[in-house]
Amino acid sequence: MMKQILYGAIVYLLAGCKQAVTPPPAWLNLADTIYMPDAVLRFKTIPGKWKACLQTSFQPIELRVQGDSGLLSIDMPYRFGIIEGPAQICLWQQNNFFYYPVYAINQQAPEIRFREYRSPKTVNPDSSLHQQLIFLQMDAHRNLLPLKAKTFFIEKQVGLAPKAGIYRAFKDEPLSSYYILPGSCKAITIQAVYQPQENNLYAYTSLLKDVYNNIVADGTPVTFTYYDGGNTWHMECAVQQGIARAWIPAEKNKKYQLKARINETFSNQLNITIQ
Amino acid sequence: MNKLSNNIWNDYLGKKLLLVAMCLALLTHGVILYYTLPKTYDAYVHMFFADHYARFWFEPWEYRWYTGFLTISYPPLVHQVIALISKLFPLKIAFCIYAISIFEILIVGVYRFTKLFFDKTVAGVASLLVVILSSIVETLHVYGQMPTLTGLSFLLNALPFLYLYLIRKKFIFLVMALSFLAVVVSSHHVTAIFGMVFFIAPTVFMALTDGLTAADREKNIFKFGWALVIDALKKYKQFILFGGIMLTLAIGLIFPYWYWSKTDPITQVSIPHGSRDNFFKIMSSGLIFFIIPLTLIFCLLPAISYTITRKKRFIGWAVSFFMCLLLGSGGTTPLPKMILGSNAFNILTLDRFGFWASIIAIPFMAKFIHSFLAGSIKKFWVNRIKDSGHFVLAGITGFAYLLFIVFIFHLGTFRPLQPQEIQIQPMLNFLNRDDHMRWRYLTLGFGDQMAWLSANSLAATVDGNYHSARRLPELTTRPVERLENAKFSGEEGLASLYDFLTYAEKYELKYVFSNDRYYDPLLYYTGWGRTIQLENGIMVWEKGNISTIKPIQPKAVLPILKKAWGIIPVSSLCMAILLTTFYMVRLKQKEYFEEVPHTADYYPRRVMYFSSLLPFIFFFSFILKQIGEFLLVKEQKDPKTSILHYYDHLDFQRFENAFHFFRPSPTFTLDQYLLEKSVSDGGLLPSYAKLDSIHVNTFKQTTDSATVAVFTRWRTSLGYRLKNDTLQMVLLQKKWYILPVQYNPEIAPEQMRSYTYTLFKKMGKRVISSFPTVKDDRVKKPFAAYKQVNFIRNGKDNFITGEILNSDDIPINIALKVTIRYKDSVVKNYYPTTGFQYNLSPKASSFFQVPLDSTQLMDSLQVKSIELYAETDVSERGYIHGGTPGYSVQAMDSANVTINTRFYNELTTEINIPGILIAEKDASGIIWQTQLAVHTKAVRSGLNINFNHLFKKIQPNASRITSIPIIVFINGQLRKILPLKKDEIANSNQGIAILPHCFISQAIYLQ
Repeated sequence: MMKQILYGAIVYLLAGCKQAVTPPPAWLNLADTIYMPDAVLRFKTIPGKWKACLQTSFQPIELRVQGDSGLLSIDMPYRFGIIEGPAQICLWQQNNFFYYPVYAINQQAPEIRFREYRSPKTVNPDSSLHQQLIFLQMDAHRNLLPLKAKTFFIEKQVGLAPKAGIYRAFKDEPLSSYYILPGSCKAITIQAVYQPQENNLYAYTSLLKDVYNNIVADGTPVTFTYYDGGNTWHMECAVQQGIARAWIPAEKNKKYQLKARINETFSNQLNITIQ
Repeated sequence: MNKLSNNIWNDYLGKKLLLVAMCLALLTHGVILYYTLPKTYDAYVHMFFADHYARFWFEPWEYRWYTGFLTISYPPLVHQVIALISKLFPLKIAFCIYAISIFEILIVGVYRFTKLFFDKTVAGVASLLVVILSSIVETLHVYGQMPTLTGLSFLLNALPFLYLYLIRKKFIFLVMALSFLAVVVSSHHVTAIFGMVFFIAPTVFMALTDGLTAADREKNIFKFGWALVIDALKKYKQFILFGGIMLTLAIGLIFPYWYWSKTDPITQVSIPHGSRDNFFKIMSSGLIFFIIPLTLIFCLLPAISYTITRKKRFIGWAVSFFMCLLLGSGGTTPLPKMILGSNAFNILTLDRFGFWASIIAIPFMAKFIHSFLAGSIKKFWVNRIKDSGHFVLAGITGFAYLLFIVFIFHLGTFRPLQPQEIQIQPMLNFLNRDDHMRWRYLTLGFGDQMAWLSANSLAATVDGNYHSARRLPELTTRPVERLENAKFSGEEGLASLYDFLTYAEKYELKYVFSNDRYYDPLLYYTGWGRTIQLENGIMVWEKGNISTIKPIQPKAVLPILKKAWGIIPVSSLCMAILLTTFYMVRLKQKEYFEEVPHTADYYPRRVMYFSSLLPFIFFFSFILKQIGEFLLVKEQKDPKTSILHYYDHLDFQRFENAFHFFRPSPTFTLDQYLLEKSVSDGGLLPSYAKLDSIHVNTFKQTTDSATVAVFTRWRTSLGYRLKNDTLQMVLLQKKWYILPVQYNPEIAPEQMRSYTYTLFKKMGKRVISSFPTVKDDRVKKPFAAYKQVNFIRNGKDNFITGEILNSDDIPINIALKVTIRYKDSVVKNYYPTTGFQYNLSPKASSFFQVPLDSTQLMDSLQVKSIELYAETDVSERGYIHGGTPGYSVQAMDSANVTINTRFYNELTTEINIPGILIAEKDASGIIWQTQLAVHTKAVRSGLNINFNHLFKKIQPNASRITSIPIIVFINGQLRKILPLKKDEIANSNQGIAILPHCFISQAIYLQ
């Protein structure tokens, strides 16, 4: 008989293990708009281990929950600004989640900053020397602020100087930099000197420039193509500070025809006889 | 009849032996397992599955392998139990705990199984035998096949209950038998299926035989058979009940598995497995899959055969044993294929049949061993060679066998089956940072450890290690086990890997973890670049412009099936444990085996001689052979043997061993040899190849000298390469030595070389944030331009050729893709292979060729439009293609030319694989085809190297198709093709233009 009672008790306990339904917490100081980070939200609910976060349109922000006897006080422990706009407070205990829509704004009006975006960030005089410029202003927390009434952006097309370099829209902000890169090489002139002690031909280009007199970009390979009567050779040398240099193995009493090229720009041809 | 009540001390001995066996197993296997684990074939795969259940218990979709597969494709119990243990212990430890637990259950199972045949003392000996049986040791420590062992251990435990149910007709025995069989079904479907044939059927037969009267058993075979049939018909209700419930369990317990195999049947090319080889032709397969696991069975075969065929109740077991032995012999005879059918033969791994044969043989071996140690055979030997002689015979045999078992324990060390253990933490760190998990990765040269990496990461790979779940056509259409060990699958393996490396965009494959530099040339020439070498030595390769993983819709499985899969199999184990406890406490009867017929301890004299001496001879010979291999092998007994061993040492880079094959000389020291090697070696063959085959032809042999020609074929990731060498040999003190070739090194005149490299560094994000960054932070997409694009048809081959220019001021990576739209909305994408330089310096251009489908297929699909897309990205590396090639072209005939290339290395590093990208152009400059040609030897800094390449021109036969316009895009924007220009250099060289395209292994140069 005792056994049956024991089994019955176990069955009863197993059947009785059911999670209680948590009623939604009541927001005592209910508000449509909350001002962060000073807002303190009060809720009445059943005792337990509650957690909360503020879900803005951009990021979830963890909130601090104090009090566990049924009266909760919720605030923002880390004092920083938020992206303003529609948000929701999420309050949960174990697997029970409750959401409260709010409109969140920052308590203090932060410093206003002007920004300009340029597209493309990099231009090349081969293609275009124009940029699309967009002005805007935002606060320190990256909330977009109107420039004039209901106007958030001002757009412009700007023409750029063809001189290669790094330009900064705002001196203190490296992110506002934009770049003008050199274009393609306009012309190549080469010269070559036989170096008897090294037994090679030292070939070099003149200062390589684009149509705007910008020095051609470092690392641009110049292909020195030379014919030694038997083989056609391609030796690649990277441009450094506008000049490409090549040391071509050479033999005495041999004739060389030497040319250099960058893409479809060819140099003059040198016919060299080494004696 | 053997009344156990009269034999209480023997009974006690049996149980004592059982306990000893269990303790021994714990002490030996329990300790060793953790260390042998990384070298097993399957352990990591099961751990990966266990990790899946630990993370996603009720979700059968596993996205980490093969772009996703369903885990319901394998019975889950083993993995789920390991997953549960892994909640308390690390995964590897959890696996070991599970493995040793199963081993203990197996020992008990064998003990109980043996009691079906013989008394408890023999059963005790059988349980001891389990600890040291080579087949079981191999299954655990070499293969790591946990589901097989789990299935078997519960099957063996189920058989006595089934037997008792048929003999005694008590319902509890049926329940017990079914509860154990339920675990078998939930653990390993193959054991469940074949267990019905090879284990359950003989048990039923034995029970029926034992149910006959003594008179019926003594009748001739036909009358005995008839009596058996009559008896079976009388018990039809028992059979129907057992069969019906068993069938229901088999289907119901793992119903999602059957549902999967019906709705998504395996349709893939069979993967070769050594167990299907002809063991006479491929001795190594025979050794691993047949000889080593079944050694003791073969040694004791006379005794086993005698006992198993002696009594009618064993007939079923005799049939099972010999059938398993036959099937386990693989492709040695055509019989297994005829019996199983070619389909099953090509899917199953046949070594499992040999394994089952060894299990069936255990009781009979135990019977013999018991008799040899303490029964009639001992008396036989003591009468002949006295007690001491018998002791020596038994001692040497036993000692030699134990050494043999130790050898199997360490088989993975003696004959490495897996690469060295790889520390995975650096790879996990790499995958976790910078959003690297948003792409798929691939491992190369990891062996089964790739599964361990997967188990520890949430990142996805295109590869995997569970062949039945593969559905990607690139994998299922080729007999390739895994991509990561493609080099072991010959041409098919490399072709499969080649597809994945070139079609990386299709699978969002961006990273390759390479543990084997063998693959470096293939990776480089298919557009992959080295990005970082991790702390554990693994090189990470990366491909630019690969899209992030797109969400894949998991294959739909009904929610109820998911729940069933997560609950029912593991419930079967819980039920078995509960019922066993209940049975042990309440119902276990002491003399439930009293009906087991007695088997006399008698063996004929010939059987005694053979079975006693064969193990002695075999295992003693084995030790001698091992000693011989280490000490007495004559590697230089004749010119051919000498050459074969020399190349073997070279292939495995044992240079000191290789050096000893040269004639000893005070002027040719090891130091000199290594020095000459370092200046003359390097390149595709010496550094990135494996010796595939060798043929030695000896000519001009005298008594003390010989000249040999060596023809070798080398397997490289870029295909096979042939090499011929001629070596002079001399005989000195009965050893053949190679004469060192007089070496005249080419030496650059300079003492030091200098070269100015221009390296680039992408500055990366300027905001330290793991969130996507703003526009300010990003570098624009670099500019590029098409110089020409052509659609070429050459017989059955079609391809898009052309030339593309990096028109920007920075080095870039270019990803090309041809999209062809066919009639009926069929769209296919094609990617370049090795005929393209994927990374280009500023203002540099590259020829390219994108292979398309065959003419027949394209014409049948009807091309509507062709689009060529290029995506560009800033690149910091891979744009140095190295060297200065000089070339001249010689016409062989109207179609063939020889390109004579002389390569000058002006860089400060060795060019490991000198190569050129060749374009065939016509007079107007149109590119007709592009090909890569590489040389097999490296060129050192400041030196030259010559090589010739035979090139077949296609212009006479091919056509350029202009009727279908090619629309070209760069970074998603429609572009125009630049005006075509003549190539005067190509025109003066028979229409051949070249670009240097070399592989430089020194990572500092950022290729």
